Amino acid sequence: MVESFTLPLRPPPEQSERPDTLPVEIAQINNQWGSFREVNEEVLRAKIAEEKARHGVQQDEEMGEGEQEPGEVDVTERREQLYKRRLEITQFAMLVAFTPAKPLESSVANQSLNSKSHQETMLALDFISLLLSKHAPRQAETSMSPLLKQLAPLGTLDSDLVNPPPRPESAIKDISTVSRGWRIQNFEAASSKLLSAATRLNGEIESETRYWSEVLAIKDKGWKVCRHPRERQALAVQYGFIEATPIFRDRGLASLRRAKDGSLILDKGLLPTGARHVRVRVKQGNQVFVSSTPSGGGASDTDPIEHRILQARDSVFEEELFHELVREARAMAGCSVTTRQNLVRVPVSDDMEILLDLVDADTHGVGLEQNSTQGDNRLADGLAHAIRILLCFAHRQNLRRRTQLPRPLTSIRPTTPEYHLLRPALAYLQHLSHVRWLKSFFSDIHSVLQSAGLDMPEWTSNSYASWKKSPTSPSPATLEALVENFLRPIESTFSGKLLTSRGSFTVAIRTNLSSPPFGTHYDVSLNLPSVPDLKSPGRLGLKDEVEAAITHLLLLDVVSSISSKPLPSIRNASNEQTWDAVYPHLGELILPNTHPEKHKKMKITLSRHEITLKTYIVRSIDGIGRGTTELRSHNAATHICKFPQSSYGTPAAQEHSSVMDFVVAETSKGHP
Amino acid sequence: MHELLLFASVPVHQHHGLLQQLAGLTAMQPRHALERRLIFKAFRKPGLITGRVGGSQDLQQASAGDLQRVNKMLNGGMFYTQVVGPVSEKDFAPASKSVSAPDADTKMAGMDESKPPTLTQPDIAHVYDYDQQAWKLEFRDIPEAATRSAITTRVMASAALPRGDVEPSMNAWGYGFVTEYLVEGDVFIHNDIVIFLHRVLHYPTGEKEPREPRRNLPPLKKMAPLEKTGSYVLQASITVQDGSNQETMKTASQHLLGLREQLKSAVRLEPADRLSLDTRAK
Amino acid sequence: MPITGVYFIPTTPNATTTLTTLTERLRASFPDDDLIPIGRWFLDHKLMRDTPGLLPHSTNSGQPPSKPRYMQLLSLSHYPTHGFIYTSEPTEKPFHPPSAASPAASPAPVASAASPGQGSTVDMPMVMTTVPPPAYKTLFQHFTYACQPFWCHRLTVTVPNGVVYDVGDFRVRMGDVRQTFPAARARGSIVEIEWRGPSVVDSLSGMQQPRSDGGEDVDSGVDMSFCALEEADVDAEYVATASLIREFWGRLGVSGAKEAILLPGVGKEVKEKLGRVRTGKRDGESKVRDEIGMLVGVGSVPFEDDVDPTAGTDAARQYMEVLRFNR
Repeated sequence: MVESFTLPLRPPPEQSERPDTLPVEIAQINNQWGSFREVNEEVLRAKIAEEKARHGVQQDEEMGEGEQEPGEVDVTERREQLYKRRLEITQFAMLVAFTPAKPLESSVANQSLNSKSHQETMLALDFISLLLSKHAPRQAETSMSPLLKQLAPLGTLDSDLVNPPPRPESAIKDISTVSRGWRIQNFEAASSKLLSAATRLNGEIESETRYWSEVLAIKDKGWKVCRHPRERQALAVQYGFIEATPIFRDRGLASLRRAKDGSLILDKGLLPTGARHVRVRVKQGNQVFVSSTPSGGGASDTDPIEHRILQARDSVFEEELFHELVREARAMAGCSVTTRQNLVRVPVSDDMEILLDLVDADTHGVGLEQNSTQGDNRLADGLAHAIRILLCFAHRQNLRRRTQLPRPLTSIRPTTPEYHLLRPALAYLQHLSHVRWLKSFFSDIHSVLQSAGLDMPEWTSNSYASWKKSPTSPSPATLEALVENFLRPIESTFSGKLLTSRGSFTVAIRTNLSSPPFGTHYDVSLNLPSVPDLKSPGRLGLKDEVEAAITHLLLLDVVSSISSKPLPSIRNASNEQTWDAVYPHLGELILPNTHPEKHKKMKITLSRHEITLKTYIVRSIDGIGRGTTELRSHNAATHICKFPQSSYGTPAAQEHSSVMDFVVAETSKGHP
Repeated sequence: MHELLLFASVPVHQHHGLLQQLAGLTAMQPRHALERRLIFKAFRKPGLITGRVGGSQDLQQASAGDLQRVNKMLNGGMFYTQVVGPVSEKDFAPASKSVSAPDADTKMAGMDESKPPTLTQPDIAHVYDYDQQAWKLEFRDIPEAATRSAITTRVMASAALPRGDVEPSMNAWGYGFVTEYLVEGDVFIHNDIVIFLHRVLHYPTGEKEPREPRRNLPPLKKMAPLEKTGSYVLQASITVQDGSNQETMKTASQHLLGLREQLKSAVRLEPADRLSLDTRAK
Repeated sequence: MPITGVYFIPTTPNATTTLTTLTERLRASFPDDDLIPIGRWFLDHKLMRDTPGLLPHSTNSGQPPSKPRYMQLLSLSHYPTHGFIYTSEPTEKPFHPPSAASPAASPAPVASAASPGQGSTVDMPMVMTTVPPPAYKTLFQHFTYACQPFWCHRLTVTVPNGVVYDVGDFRVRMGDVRQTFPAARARGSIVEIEWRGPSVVDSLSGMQQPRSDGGEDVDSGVDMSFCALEEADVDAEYVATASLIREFWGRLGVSGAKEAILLPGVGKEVKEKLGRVRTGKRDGESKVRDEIGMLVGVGSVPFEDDVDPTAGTDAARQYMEVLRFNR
């Protein structure tokens, strides 16, 4: 049987590519059988007989042995033999199976027992497998040993019940009861499984419904819901700003995950969840004003999803804002703006400083100096709003730039310039301080002149003229045009008329931090017809220069108004006298006298705080001459008149209530 | 300057959907564009080359090379070129005068400077002013032969021209007016790529083909698409300043191929047949 | 657009005039004025010729040689908003004969009567076009690339470091002209004399400016004053100013110069503008420009606008006249 089932597992013997050639075969035959000449019938017959004889002997031997065995060996011997052989087999099998694994010292008995049980199990397995292979060939094949597979084709063994012995009644009853019990048990198990599956699915449906309704609610609120670009399975909501810098633009996307109960989880990945915002502090002297916290900060997980998205959006906006502030601040190092890791310090003026930092929403205000003047946070708040509006504007500009026709591609990548966030704000503050200074200067000097009884026309100011819409110009077409105004140079103008007719002055203050020339400068233009060689100083950079220029102009104005004033002559009406402005730029006038040594000179000095008039007699021939050649007479009869009159001084010393009174009085005194 | 291009044909029923898709892709609203395109052809005096047999006898030896160069130049390529001017819908004649439109057109053509009486209503106060029309010269060479077969590449030049009547200048430079048409479409910008979804419109047939650029425009409604079904062409183009720079050319073509991948589910962007974009004047 | 005159002093083997010598002459001629350079200026000029005209005309064909046609491209640093392209009119109009309707193409020949007998090297009229600087560069490349059968680049000359002086009512620009293509060599010196005194022409051509930068109502009064002006008045002013410039040049005493003042075509743009002012046609340019700003083309270059495209065309004509070397 074994013989008949051998399968050719070895490769078939290699066929020689071509049969041996005839000479080779002949040589072979010669070698084996001798020469053909010796082959004859006789030899061949002998050969055949010899062959036959050999076969017959073999067969006989075999036959003989087979017949002898049952007779010679008795039963016990046979059993012994059998056991012996079986031991041999098992030992051999053990040796084959366990030699590489088992150490040598383990006992032979154990070994044999092990191997025996193993062997038997394997045999049983093989047997069952072969039996099953009739009905479930696939399944059974997996558990068949390779040897069996080699020996027996699948499905070659079948079992059948042949003549079952009749079972007793009780056994049949038992069996039916047991099987019924089993069935009931199984039904119960199945039903409970189905029920639990149903409840689970119900829950699943509920949470899924909740999830989708929340997603839809978000979508209805106008948020952009999309498939997550990196996780194809997840949904994501986009709350960031498309026009932001790429790193912040990409951060404006969070996947919407489903919690167990179906509520939405906003998964921002590794980003910090806390709300943060840019805090603006204005330090003025010793006081610190803090911008108010943006509303809606500090959302927790219990808040509705809408809140959390809003908070995430605000956070990414604030972080971008701070990033851009730092970037701009670095570029503004020339304006002595300094940056630390998390702080931008912008000095505005001597006693004013702006501090910008990014803080967590919940730490805000805690441990900080509680500013008592809560109402004065307007500036800080205004700044905070301004930088945010300007960032939005920068986003719009980005959109505009992005949708323009692109420049031809070159190997050089254009760098994105810093946004204008701090610069306009700083320009405004700088401008504001200059305007305030100029206003205070004007009101000071105006009050000085007023106190001196000089009827100075009121000056007018037009602050932030460049921001104001002129009535003729069309209203800005877009929102961008409105904000664009704030990036332009800021201009304020002050203008006023002078004492002398047709005299006027204009001061324009321009502040520009967005494009060169940077900084603030004044444009002073004068128009004083009575002093013909007067040239407008033009562009001035320093406050002192401006103050000097305007004070000088007003001095000239006062001088020329005195010199042009017709004075009542005491002596005779025909000879009208006037003060002659000899050195108007120095504020000196002269009242000529017939007596060469009795010319009267008046010197006017004007400053921001006071105006002083001084008269004295000079002895020079025509009164002209300065310094040492001025020749002040010994009994100069100096008279001084100061405005505004000091309250605590000697009130008697000043009997004149105005400059003109003093001038008239001095004129009359000049002709004693 | 070089231009790299891909094209796709868009049937009219797909047009609206594609506009939406492109708006989403580029995150911008489509920008509607109407362009007058005047076609000019380079010309040269006829018979100059043929009449030049035996002329080299009186040549000095020194200028032989020069003459060879001149001869080579004389046989160089000549091209058609376009003069492109943007117009707005308001520049077209109002369509309401449909009954008397042909009449009004001829009238308008006759009186260039003065306002046509048909346009005195206040709501159509806008009159197309040809003398203020902005123009630019758009030159395109024949696409380069199969170096980058996946993308159409060609030499281009674009230069602003003075406003108004360009014909005298163009004539003096050696170009003669051939014909004109209108291009209508929407522009999208996607990073460096200009996406132009457009179609060509013809001036109304029947009226006499003018021999110079039109000074007035017919009603827009009367313009007929060149492709009778009204289908559109999607053109994605990217310009490169220095075409000899392999690095930028590679970047540009990668950008275009990236766009092709992104739009794969909507349209199939392909290079154009080279000879169909031949601008050489024979 | 002020009235100008341009003089070119070519370098000859026996006489070399350079910027230094010219400056010395200027100082010697105007000892009262202290001459301080008020700025620098730059010029770039490319001369192209019709390619067929470069072939040696055969003697036995019997045809008279056709007149050479030129295209000149000029860029001046004092007119930075545009470059000038000056081209000989085509001998015949291609394909279609010119229609008489186009108003811009038929200006009356100007100043030829006033031109005092000095021969212009080109007899055929030329067409002036001004284009923005980027287009100027692109167009030149285009002509050399795509128009070889009819345009051949012959020469490039530049004035790399010109000097500007203010002398009384005149502004003088001087510089050395260097040839950079095909071979580098000195070609001579050039002097532009600009009249900066009161001039109707100048104020007329400058009329656009106030409107462009603020829209103030300054020019409404001015308009009226130009209505009384006739083209003849403009011509007369050109002639009068030309004599002033000639007188100024005469004081320098430089000989051997090529003069370009009253050329055909000079004053053409001014007269066109005068015509527009007088017919009262307010060219609503600002309005149109706003709209154009919103429109885009599809090509690579956005439309950019020149505030006054005609500025400097007179001076450009004069420069190109003297720089049109016969090559």
